[in-house]
Amino acid sequence: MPFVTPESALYPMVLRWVDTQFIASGLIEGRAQSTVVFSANVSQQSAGEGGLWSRPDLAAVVYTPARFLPNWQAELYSFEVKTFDGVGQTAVYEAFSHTRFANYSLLVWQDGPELSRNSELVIDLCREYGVGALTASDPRIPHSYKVQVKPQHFTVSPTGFDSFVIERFPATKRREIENWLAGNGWGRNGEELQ
Amino acid sequence: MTVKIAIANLKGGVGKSTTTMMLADALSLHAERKVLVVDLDPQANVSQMMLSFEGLQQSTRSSRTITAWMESLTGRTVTGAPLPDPRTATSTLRTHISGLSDFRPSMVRRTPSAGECSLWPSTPDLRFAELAFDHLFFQAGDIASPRNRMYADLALAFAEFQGLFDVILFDCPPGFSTLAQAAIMHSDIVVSPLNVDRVSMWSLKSFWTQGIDGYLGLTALKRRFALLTMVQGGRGAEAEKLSVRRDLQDFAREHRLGVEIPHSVQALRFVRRPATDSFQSFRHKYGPLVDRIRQFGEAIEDQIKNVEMERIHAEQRSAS
Repeated sequence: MPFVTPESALYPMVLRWVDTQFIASGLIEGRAQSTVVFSANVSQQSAGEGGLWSRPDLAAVVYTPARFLPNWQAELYSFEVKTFDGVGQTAVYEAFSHTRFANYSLLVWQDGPELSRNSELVIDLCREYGVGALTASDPRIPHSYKVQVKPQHFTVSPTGFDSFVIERFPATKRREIENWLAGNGWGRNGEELQ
Repeated sequence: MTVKIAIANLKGGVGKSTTTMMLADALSLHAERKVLVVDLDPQANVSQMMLSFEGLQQSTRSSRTITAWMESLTGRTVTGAPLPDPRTATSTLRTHISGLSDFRPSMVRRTPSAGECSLWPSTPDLRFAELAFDHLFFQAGDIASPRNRMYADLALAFAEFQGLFDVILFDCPPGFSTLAQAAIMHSDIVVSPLNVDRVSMWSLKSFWTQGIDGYLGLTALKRRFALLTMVQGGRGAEAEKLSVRRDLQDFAREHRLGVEIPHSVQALRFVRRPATDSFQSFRHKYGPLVDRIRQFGEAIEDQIKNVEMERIHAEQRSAS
């Protein structure tokens, strides 16, 4: 498998993994069969407040039910995607900076079937910073992705969570999330998110 | 290299959805195939059986249905509201939804070769999405225009699914809908369940000769198989049943599967999935039918391997 460039060519490939394998990857706690995932390419959306490294490439809102909780749990995952030669120490810091608004932050990159020395160093740094590490030997094939490090949980305020979805998720995705919430009885009485 | 199989017949109530579910379970569990079930039937029987009613509702609410994908093709929801951004086919799938305990998330064998079961669920309003599609893409004087357009759209969706699945099973609705026609045109194998009665037999003949050969012009689609289902039960009319069997033998010949399904597993207690997080073992789910379903899976797995071998030979020939 040749190394994929540019980075943006990797986005739809990683999104396919998020849409099809994420729930079985062991990254999501709880009952995977009942989990609902809304994923989006958020790389093109403008970042309201701006700032350094304030824009992940992909994101997913994950709703998980629990048996003894009266509500579903909502968590935001961010994905920073890098090419084989674009991943390094700085990428880990970039992914870590996303924990300002994401409960879990992951760094995703392409590597060969055997991990390179550079990847091993990046994985060690991810572990140190609580950033998840996900590698793919062939990013086109969702079954070739491997979780190297599970991300740590970070606390995000409800308003920070809302702001991220409002500002970064495309309109159709936002509507899908609202429809899903309304269908479960948490509607906003038809009020449309702007 | 995905092999596509249509479970189709013109007649309803012959066991198409149940056959689809049985085949998905057998292929994913015993043959360790990565299976995608595409529910093309607005009755959504196989979707409900595989997801549970609650699971199907959650799929609908989160736009993970084939109906949501079809809305994207027409740019409008089934209620007529505009859909500003297109959806990818992959984002409307439900993956890892097997109700077999071997695939329970905590027990999933996470090796690239292990089987799994996914679903492109249907909803009752798929029929309206399909009607909207038919109206939008009908061209005067060409009754095949919606079907040909659907064939092309499905081809794009399958290109998106590349590398995800080994086998795609189409659960076709009774009749000959646009989606069903396009799916059959994509198929390498057709399995037609039928019961031991004259109308079922009539329906099979009509489906194969008028539908597949005539209307779709797929005379080269030789991997088509008749599967007798619900052969047990019902008293009397033994002479007529024997006559139907003889008729089937004369018509289908080597295209009749040796294995038969004795009774509808729908009638068994445990087939329907009570909740999204409920699991059963294969033996518990199918009870006395386990051996038949395993044999059925093996018969189709042999055909899948034949299709794969033919493709490898064709690639080698074209390379040389």
